[in-house]
Amino acid sequence: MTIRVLPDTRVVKIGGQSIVDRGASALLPILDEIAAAREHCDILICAGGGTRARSIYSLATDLRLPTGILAALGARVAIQNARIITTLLASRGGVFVEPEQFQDLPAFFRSGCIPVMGGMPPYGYWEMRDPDSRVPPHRTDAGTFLTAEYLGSERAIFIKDEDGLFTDDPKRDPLAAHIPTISASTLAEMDIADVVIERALLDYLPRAVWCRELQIVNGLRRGEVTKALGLERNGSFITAEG
Amino acid sequence: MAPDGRIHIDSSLKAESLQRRDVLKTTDGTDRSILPDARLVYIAGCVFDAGAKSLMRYVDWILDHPDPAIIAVGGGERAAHVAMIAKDCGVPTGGIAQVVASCEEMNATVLAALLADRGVPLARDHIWDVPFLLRCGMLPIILAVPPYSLWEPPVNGGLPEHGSLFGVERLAEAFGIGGVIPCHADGCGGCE
Repeated sequence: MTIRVLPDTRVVKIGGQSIVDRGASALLPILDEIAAAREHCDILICAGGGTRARSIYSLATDLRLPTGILAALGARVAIQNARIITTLLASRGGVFVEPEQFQDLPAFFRSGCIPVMGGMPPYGYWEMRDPDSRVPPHRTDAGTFLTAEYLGSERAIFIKDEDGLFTDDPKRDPLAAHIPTISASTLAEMDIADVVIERALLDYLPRAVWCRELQIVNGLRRGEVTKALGLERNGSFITAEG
Repeated sequence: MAPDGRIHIDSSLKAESLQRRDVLKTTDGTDRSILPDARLVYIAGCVFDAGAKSLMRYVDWILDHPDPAIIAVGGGERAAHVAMIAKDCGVPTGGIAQVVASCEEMNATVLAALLADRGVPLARDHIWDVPFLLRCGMLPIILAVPPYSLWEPPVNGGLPEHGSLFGVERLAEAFGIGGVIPCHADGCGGCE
């Protein structure tokens, strides 16, 4: 059994297209909730990408650039959003961290800081390629989950703009049904057209030692982020066990 | 601001879910080769483990070869050792990957000393120096293991799945390098 490096850390992703691309009206209230919750728990923020990532992936596709280069490009977008979030939280302890600075996390938490990082894992040019796509399979959802697993957090929290997991994208299909809890294996077997989380996590979650749950909450509803950071069971959960 | 409350950039992937298989499929296709003429020589860790004679044989071969090459180095028995100690202590998979990479840095430093007038140890984020260095006849020396580090995917607390050979293959694919030349010590059965 592996040790838990910083087990009480809440690892939380702020969505790119779902939250940051909406601007102040969506982002600022979420940051207020996070800053308030920081009073009773350690929080590490991972920033998503969003429309600029889609834009550069589209250009890179037209240019036939390899997946590794798309991964390096996508990482920059998430870092841009992390820089914005860090700036907005600076007066309340926001501090930008690079992957190489993980050894400093205990000091940041001890001093009441809220570390913020780009959500992409640092795979860059070494990213794997899926068979039918040049879009990097490990993006900011994967980075957030892998961060939580390394730190020994029991859940990774994803702040998006829907009430969790549905049988299809509720923006396209109003009849899509909400799924409060489902195992990764069951979700993979359903093979639904669209899922709220990167598909790579459905493979990884059952193999995780500590991070055995993915929680998806709607950051556009006031109080949902606070509940999640308080370890309440709002939103949807994807679990390691069936 | 679009009617959906978001600020978009117009593109073929605008407002799309990147989880949808039909959307992802639109990005498929053959890749452009970035460095089609480059060679990638992988010096496996066993070459370093076998000692000076084993290593100098490859150093002389590299220096005698007229074509420029990227040199990737493995970690060998020191990497295996630190992985074993870390695992025994309960260090998570990602933490093991981190210290394994550090062993490759040691071998890269040794090789840089032996190739001093042409070898250039290369930090990962300096990868775009490679075309310039090759044009100058220099030999960029990089770590073979991928930089997954703390973000190595979980394997139920086991050792990292993505080793040096995997890293070399990924780098070759990312840059469209056709020729990967693996170098092992005599008697090695094909280690990572």
